[in-house]
Amino acid sequence: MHLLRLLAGSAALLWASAAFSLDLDPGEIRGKSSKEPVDVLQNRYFLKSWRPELGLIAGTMLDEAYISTRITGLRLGLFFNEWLGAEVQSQRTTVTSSTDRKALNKLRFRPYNPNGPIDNTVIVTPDPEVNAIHQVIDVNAIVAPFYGKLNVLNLAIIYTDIYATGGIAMLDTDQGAKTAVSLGAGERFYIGKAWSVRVDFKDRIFNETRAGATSRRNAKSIDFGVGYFFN
Amino acid sequence: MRLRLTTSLLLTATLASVGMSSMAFAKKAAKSKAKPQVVDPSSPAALHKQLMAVKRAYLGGDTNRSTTWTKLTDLHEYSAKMAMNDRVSLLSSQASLLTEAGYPILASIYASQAIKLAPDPLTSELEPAWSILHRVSEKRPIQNVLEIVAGSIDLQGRKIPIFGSDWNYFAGNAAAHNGQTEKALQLYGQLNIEGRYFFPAKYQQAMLYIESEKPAAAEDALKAILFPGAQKMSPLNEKQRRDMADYAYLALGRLYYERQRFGESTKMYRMVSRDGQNFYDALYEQSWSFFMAGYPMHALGGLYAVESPFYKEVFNPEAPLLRAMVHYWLCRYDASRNALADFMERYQPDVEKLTEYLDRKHLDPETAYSLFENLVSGVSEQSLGISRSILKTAAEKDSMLLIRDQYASILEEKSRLEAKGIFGNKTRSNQSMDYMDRWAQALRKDVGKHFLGELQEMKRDYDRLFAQAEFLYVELLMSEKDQLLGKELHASSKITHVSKRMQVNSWDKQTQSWKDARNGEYWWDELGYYIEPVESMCAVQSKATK
Repeated sequence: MHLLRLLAGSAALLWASAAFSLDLDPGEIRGKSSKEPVDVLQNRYFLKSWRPELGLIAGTMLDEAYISTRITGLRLGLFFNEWLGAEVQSQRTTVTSSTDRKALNKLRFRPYNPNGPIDNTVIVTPDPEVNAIHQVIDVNAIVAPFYGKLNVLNLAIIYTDIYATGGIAMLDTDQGAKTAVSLGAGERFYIGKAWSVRVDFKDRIFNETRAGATSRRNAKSIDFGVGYFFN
Repeated sequence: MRLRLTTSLLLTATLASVGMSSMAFAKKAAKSKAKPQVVDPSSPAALHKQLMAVKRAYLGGDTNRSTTWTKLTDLHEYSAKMAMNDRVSLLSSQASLLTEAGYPILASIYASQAIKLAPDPLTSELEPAWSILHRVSEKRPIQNVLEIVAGSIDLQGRKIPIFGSDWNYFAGNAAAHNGQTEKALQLYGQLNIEGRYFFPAKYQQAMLYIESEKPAAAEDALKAILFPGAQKMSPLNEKQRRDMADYAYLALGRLYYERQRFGESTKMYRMVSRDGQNFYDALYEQSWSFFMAGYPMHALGGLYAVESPFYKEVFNPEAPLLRAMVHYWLCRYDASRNALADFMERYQPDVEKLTEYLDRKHLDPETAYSLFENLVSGVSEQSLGISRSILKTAAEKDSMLLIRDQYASILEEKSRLEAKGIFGNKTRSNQSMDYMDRWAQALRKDVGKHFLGELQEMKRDYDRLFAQAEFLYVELLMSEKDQLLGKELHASSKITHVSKRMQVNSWDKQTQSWKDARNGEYWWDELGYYIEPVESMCAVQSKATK
């Protein structure tokens, strides 16, 4: 039995040798020096791959004239490798009128009647047309091609990821449910191997009605988050 | 530290024997093939007439290249019966056609045969052959062909116009291979500074000076490569110039180390570019220089980089041994003991397998080549029976890479020849294929021979290091015992104080000095800038402090 196994092994080796002789690629023969680095980073310390992330979000909508929209929410993410992942985040908003809107609301006017005298009993208050956002659910892919470290005042080194996000967002607005394209960018700073803080900028692009016509809106937001990687 | 100041000459007896005579080839071909009917081989005069007719018809545009090649190949069958000048003319014509057919290496083999056979290698008839060799040498690795030609012709002091003084490089290599050191040195010294081979010649010259124990002359030769004027005038491209400068820096680093000029040695090592082939060697060897120059923290930092995952496939048992030595001289006996344990644990099992392989009775270049081929083909370590790191390190030594490049180029051209034939004609490519087979076979044998030689050298190195490790271990035990008794063995030579100076020669403000964060990450840009913060633990220092 032992002899048979030996013979089989020798035959396999001979076959392998013959096969490689036939298919040998000159490129393999030429070779290159192993002294060249394979990857510029070895033994990466801060790892995300296949580690579910749970995070909290707090932020605000940008570029709003008459309302102020604060955002709070939850985020769930998962990276498939160190460069590519996906995340879902659900946010509720708190909408308050801006000082400008409040000032406008305090104004009182008697409407002008081009066909006759002004009716002194009718008083109107100006109010701009706003379409407040009350809830946002984002489903995004994340690409994180930049991983690096920053020297903080020569006292400490912090490790960071810079990434881009893209996907769809479902919004609940004054005008009803809207579906938007979501684009964004952000940076994550690691605190230990499990915790991280991050800052995200997002632009949700969707159509709404303004003065009776369809208009494209860019609802920009910035939020700060803290996340925990499990495993 | 073992310095490897050897020449990279690859002119081997095996290859030289491949430059076979046309006579032998013709006899072999005549036996193996039916004689073509179109050739009248009755006399040299008849063959001469036919050769002239073929050439006239081609030059006059009466026959195309394919037909001409067929006719020349048929004539080649009878080249043994031809007059010498006709044989030279035939080979030269075939070389020209092969260049046009897109087989530069094969063309250079034919051209070299023509030159070697010619009674006068500088006859005008051979100008196309020289031109082919010159053109091909700029784009393909045919150094072996040129060195064989250089070693077998006598120019009687004349120059080959197309090569100019560059030919002296090949002639110098041939002389060096034949042990004619003085002649080689003289030839290397005759190259013009604008020559393509000026830098390689200076390097070879330096190597020969080192072998002849003339370090000052070697230093001058190496500095000539780094001379800004020479760099400016060189026709080499930027990468080639940078590579040559790296070789010069590395050699100077070794040279200065040998002459105990450790500060200058580290400076030279640190000039080696990190993107080049020699960075690892420079990184490792500078650890020795730093240690000897009195910078153990930098030496250990260098070793930390050398033992990083970037180089996990490099077999270098000397690295943990040097680490053990540095710690030993700092009286850090536990760390020294750990480094010795690393040396044994990581390398001993691999070397045992290598020893088993080298102890085989039937060990020759052919079996070594099979092992090499299995390695590059990706056969698993288990099937190879030897650690991949050992085999890869041996297979990627400079001399191996050079010969692998030549062999790969031959194989590429050979497979093209098999697939396409010459001018689409496969039936008349047998002679050429036979030439290529012989060259490929010889190079294959050379790959095996060098591979085996490197493996044997690695084994010898390890045995030497093992003996040093044993000696160090005994010293370590004795030192530990003495330290317990409040004494310090070899106290006068131990390092009792480690300089806190971070910036050392060549490590100026323009570079970043990183203290290792010890978080396990290794960044490519940080290699070479690690500093291992250690203190001496010598009892002598403790007393002084008290």
